[in-house]
Amino acid sequence: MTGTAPDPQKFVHPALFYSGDQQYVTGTVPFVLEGLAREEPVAVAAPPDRLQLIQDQLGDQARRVHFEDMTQAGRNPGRIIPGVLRRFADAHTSGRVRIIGEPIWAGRSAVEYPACVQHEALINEAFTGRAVTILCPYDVDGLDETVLKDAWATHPVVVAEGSETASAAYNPEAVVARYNHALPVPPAVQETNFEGSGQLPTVREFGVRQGERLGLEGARLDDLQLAVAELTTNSVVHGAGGGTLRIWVEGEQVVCEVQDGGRLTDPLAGRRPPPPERPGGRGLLFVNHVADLVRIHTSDAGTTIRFYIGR
Amino acid sequence: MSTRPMWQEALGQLSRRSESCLYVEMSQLTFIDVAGVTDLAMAARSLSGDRLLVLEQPPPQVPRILDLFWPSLGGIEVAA
Repeated sequence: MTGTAPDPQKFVHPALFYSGDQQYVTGTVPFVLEGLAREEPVAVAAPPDRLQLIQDQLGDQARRVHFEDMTQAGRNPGRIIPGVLRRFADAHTSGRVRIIGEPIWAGRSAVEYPACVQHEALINEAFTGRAVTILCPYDVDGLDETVLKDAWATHPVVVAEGSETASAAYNPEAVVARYNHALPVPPAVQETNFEGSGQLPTVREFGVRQGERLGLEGARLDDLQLAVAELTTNSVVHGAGGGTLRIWVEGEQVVCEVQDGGRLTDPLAGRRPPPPERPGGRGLLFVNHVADLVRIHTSDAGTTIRFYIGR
Repeated sequence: MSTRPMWQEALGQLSRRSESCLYVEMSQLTFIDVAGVTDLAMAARSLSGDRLLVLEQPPPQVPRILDLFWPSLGGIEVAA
């Protein structure tokens, strides 16, 4: 991580294993300072208490760094590549861009985790061949052993206590496949089937009516309506012409899913911000932007896309 | 989805007109999806010089989607 600058075309994606605030600072602050010394654009996206640690150490230099609260901007892991990482990297295209991205913190739920680890794996494909370095801190005290084991598979290099180790377990495609498991069976749901473009308004209205009944209003209800429209349209166009919409409540969130008979073959679907002039390809991306969480399961038997919206 | 070709055709005709301000009256529209707003953004991008597409009373999806995907798009204005 220190020393000579990497090959300009090379994407660099180390994990940082840290224990306690001191190791966090030692592992991140020199990384930031080195970037600033090289005049590279630097961003830090992490939980607020982690941002504070880095800001305190940087003092005046902090003004030259873009900070983002990952618990908000990256609450939905599916939004991190388009909404945080590429948003920053694409805005600075001359020379290397340096980012600290901490998408997995103690407190990520069991239902969020598969989306988190798939996100970490997909970063590698999303940034292949780009002059970008993304350092991903992992709190070894707060996170489960499985999480740390997975980090060895999603990062080509792991840094711990100042030394770098190339990962023999690095295999991001296998991680994406391994966490592509069937979604937990929901509790009592309202559901409706749809077939053909003529039924799209009806299924959308069904979603709005149920969303309202389950406690959504205002902008959140508008977002639900759009998300339902985008996913059901995708089912009609790409997923065997129709599907099933289900909606229910889990805690403080309204959960909605669209199931169809298609197979999603592009693992980066919904994570690629298209150039502004491209006329399509923003449906699933929209859902990723507005939902608190998106979970996907795809197989030869069909695809289910489930999204969560806070009440 | 089924109304999209008509929508694209109407926007195409509109953007070929010579007036500097082109108005789209949207108050009767209750819903528009991402593809429909994308067509608006594409129409605005196709306008030359300082010509302007003015959207009158659009449904809430329009500003939501424009803000997300074309936050600094010139050539388009929302009139409430």
